[in-house]
Amino acid sequence: MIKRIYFFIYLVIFIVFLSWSEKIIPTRNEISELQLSRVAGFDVEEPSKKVQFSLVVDSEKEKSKNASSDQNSNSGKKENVITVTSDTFAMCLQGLQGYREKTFTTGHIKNILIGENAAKNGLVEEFDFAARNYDLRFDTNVYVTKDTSAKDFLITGTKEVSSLNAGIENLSTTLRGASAPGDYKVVDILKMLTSEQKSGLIPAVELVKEEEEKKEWRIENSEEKGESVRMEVAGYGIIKDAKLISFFSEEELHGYNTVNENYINLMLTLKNGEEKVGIDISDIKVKKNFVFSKDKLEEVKLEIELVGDITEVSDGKNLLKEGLSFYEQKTSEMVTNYVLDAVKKSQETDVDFLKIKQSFRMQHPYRYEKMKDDFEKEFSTLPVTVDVQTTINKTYGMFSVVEE
Amino acid sequence: MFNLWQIDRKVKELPQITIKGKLTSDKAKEVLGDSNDVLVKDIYTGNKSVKIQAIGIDGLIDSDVIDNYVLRPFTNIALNKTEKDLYEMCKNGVIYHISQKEIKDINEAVENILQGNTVVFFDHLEKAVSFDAKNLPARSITEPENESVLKGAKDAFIESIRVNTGLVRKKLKTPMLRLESFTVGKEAVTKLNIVYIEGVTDEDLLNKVREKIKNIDMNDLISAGKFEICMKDYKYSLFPQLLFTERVEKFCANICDGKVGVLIDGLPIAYLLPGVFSTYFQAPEDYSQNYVLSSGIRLLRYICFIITLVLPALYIAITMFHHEMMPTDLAISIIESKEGVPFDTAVEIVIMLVAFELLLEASLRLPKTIGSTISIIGGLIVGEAAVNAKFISPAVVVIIAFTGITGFVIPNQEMSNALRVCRIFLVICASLAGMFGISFGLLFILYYLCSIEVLGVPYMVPFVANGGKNMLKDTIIRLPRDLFGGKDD
Amino acid sequence: MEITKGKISIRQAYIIVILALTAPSLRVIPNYVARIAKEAGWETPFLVIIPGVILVYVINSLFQKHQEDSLYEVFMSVFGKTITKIIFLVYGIWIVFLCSMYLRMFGERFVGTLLFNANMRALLGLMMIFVGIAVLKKFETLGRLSEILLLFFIILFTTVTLAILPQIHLENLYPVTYYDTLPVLKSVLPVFSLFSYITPLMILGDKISHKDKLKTYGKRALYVLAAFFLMLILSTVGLFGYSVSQQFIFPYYFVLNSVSLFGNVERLESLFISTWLASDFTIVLFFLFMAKQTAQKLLPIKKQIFYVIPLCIVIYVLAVMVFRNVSQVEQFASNILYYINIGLFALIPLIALIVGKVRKVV
Repeated sequence: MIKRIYFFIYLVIFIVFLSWSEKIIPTRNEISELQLSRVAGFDVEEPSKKVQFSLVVDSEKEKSKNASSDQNSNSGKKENVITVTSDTFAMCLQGLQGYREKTFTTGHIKNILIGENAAKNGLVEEFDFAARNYDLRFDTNVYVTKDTSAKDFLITGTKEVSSLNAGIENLSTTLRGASAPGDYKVVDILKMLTSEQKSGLIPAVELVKEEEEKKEWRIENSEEKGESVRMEVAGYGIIKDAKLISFFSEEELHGYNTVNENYINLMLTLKNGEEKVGIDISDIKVKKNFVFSKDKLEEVKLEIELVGDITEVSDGKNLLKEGLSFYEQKTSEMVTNYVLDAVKKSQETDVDFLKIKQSFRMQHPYRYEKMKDDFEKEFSTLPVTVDVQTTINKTYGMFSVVEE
Repeated sequence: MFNLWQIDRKVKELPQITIKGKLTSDKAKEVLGDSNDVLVKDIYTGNKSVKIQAIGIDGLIDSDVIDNYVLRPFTNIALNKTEKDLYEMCKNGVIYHISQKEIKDINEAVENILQGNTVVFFDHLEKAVSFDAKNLPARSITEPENESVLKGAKDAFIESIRVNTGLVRKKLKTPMLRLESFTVGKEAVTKLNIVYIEGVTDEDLLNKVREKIKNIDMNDLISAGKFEICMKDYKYSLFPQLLFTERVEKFCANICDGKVGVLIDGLPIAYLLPGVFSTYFQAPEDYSQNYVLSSGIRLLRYICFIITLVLPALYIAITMFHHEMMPTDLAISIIESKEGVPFDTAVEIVIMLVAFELLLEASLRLPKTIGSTISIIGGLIVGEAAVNAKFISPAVVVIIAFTGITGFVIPNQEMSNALRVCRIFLVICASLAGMFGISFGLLFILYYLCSIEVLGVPYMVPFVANGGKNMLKDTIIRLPRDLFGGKDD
Repeated sequence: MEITKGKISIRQAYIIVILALTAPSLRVIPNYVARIAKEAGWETPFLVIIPGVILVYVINSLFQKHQEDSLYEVFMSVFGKTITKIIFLVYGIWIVFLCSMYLRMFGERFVGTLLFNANMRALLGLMMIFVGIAVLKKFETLGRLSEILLLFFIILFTTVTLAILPQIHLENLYPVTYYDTLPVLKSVLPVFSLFSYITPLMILGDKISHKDKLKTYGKRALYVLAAFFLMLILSTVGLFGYSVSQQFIFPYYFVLNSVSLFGNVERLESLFISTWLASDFTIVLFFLFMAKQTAQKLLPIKKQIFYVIPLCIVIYVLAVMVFRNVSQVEQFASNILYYINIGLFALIPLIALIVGKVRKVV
């Protein structure tokens, strides 16, 4: 027994010393040697077609002269963007290791930006890398940068915005706040790319100058005098055959969100001459009906029911008697136009982002199996009718009389 | 303990003492030697052919009882009687003592004398009678020092085995309570009693305990550790296998549950067999509090058991291998706090664990008056100055402090000590292979725990080998008595 | 159940099987079922109950009159000595091969997910040493260990499933039409082939007591496994869709990647995967026990160390040398292994039962 104990002790010492060797366990990395990044960018350099991999990292802190060692000295913290160009993304990541004596890890990346050019060239390479990289999470948010490359977006962002990391992380919240829960993750893009059609949507972001009126609202902030740029959600980009083909316009975006019941609230402003009425659509119900004639699909009917409240009437009047039905009809027309724009875009691009094909498959699976091939061909010319019914609930406010 | 002082010296091992000879007082005096505490009293009969002597050990016998109830009656009846008559009268109750015994041989006579009895030798007849009138030096019954409770009896065992058995009898007034006596030890003949309730305790278990005790082959049996080594099946195991207690109430409660109790003369503790894993997480106050509260505290103990075992290793695994597990903000904070620290995380943890063990050992050895000073100095030195000097990072101090605190939540100190060793083992495993190493280490420990059997009972009962019954009854949570379904298994 | 010295109860035996099957099922089921049955894969666990129950009844019938015996004695009474020895020789070789394959899969999984670029041979060697020492100890220890580990697994797995539940998209799981019938039936095969390991378990039948409850616990084990498989499929196919699930060798790793507890505690896949070391250990040890027992029945040598050391060496060498990479293991598993398992561990007992009934020995 004593010999066994001695043997065991020698074995443990041997294993401890031997296993500290990099040859046996090479994955040991001290945390202080790590460089973490929360945002990554993927681009393709023209005309060489080399790939570019960008990471946003925290730069060296500038400790204030009066700061003591245990005070939080974040005051001088800045972000900078490190970009590596190479033949493949894996080579880019490999090239970063040891840069400035740090080990770069992708395990903390929460947002991926893909440049518009890279997206137009095709998304397969980027997401093949993302899928094979075990560090990168599948629930990392993905965006495509509109009108710019990811690298330029990030560089401009670090200069103009106070915290790029926080700004990009807030985008998914902004997406929800803008009543459209549409943050896409890596897994969603992978699902899209592995499907038969390789088509779908990808959220888009852009940098908007303060004085530009790209949105329905304009924001000015007296505190941020030097900052004239902010990050904004720019709708969605349309992917077909794994390539970015176009972006939604504002109207198409509204149509898409309406048909997919994405909105938590849809705010509309209706104008009737000088009068302005604000409507908040809180409930959207969509039914997709397929009309057949002798086993042939004749048309698709989208029946949309909207329920909303009046948020504001510019002259404070009570709309209950005459005005209500007028504004209900106007709302219906507005939404109908949005939906028709979205339908047109879907048929033009042959991308089923309105999930009409999917609904057809869910509702009539056997017919779908029989007419699968024909349906794909006919989808772009299929007549789609839209019927929107609006009901407005809350109709009076502070300045109108309540009639019994 | 290891008799290292005997290395290079020729020390004979004491053989088993077997006294041969006649059952006479002269032989007894010869065996006991010239010790000045051996009392010898001739009983005068007026007849020179009669030789009756009483022998006892001063300090062990109750002189008053012997004088008034043994020697005086002898004196009253001894005149002009033959030795044989006196012996018959003694045997048939003329001498008023409930505890008298006929002695068969000189061995038994000497043993009785050494145990505090008074033996009256009838030399010509070569017979002897032993009177049990002990007055052994013993302290009074006090409160338990290490197992205090708010609600419950506060009497604790003392060194005298007879007092202890008396305390048990006082609590368990059942006719089925049995006490079996054994003596062990070649030099220091020590008395041992096993206590059980007939019909409740498993016969196989009893037989194994008896066999174990009979097979004890030691010169002496004064310390608790020696007894434990003799009774364990897995002698070299780190984990405790015998439960010990100072409290009479706890001892009796466990006897009623079917355990076998062992009382040892000279030790103020009692042992309970078998001591399975779950018993070391039970504390006395669990049964005197509300079951919801007790269940919460029990659950907390098990959680603390896992934390104290795994936390330092987990910290090493996360900071050296699996950085993605840490929230990004926390990771950045730790990176900043580790700036300037020259050691690897694994080395820091080992340094801190060693420092913690040093503090513990120092506080055990010091008198109570300055023990608290060490804690303050240790905390200041280790906690603040080392961090400021960039010797270690603040996160490591927090981890080790939390580990230490959770370690003290476990009621049984022996189990806590075992976990301290396992913790270091897991730290080594984690520094070698991260999470995989921790898993491997934990699997190894668990496998080992599952392989241990205490007197044929698996160590991990009732979690295992019980058909899935009663796993939670009185282990991780404490159910109310009426949900136990009657008698405990 | 009373503790019988030197034996484990039938309940413990089935717990060992459940725990052992966790490792291969995590790898096989989501991937294979998604590939064959697509969205309808979640129906597979329900259908696998049918052949599973039949197999349990077959085994139960075989052991009705052989409560204290092992499968070897049962086959001896049915087929006679020569055929039994041949069957057991084939069983022994196949079990050794399975053991080496599972050992290799363990190494591949850890090197691919936790310990990137670590030396796989060292890892396999370490596991083999631990298993080799464990197989020399008592079989009861494995039974006790499995009881505790299964509790942990259930808690862990349930936590993961509950955390994943809000992220599951129902449109990944339907529509299910009659066109999916044949694919679903095809996907039952690999799942059932895993369950058929209850047959070689009875090689250790002389170490298992309370065989009168074999039917009860067999069915319970089947239901537990079916529930486990269902949760597995719902988690992977429901989260990723079949098109993504079928591409990965180990899709459940990516499910774990997506687990987030309370929005703060994330990326726990390392923790979960390292816990599954226990399942890998159990399956390798389980097969090694069976191989040792088979060798003891076939060869006249009594001292077990003379079996164990050569077996360990052979298994290690096979694990390192037979397959070049993980894809070969996958292809072997999907094209050959499942059919051989069903043939050896489902059909042969069925034939034994029929012959036994005809000869009136069972």
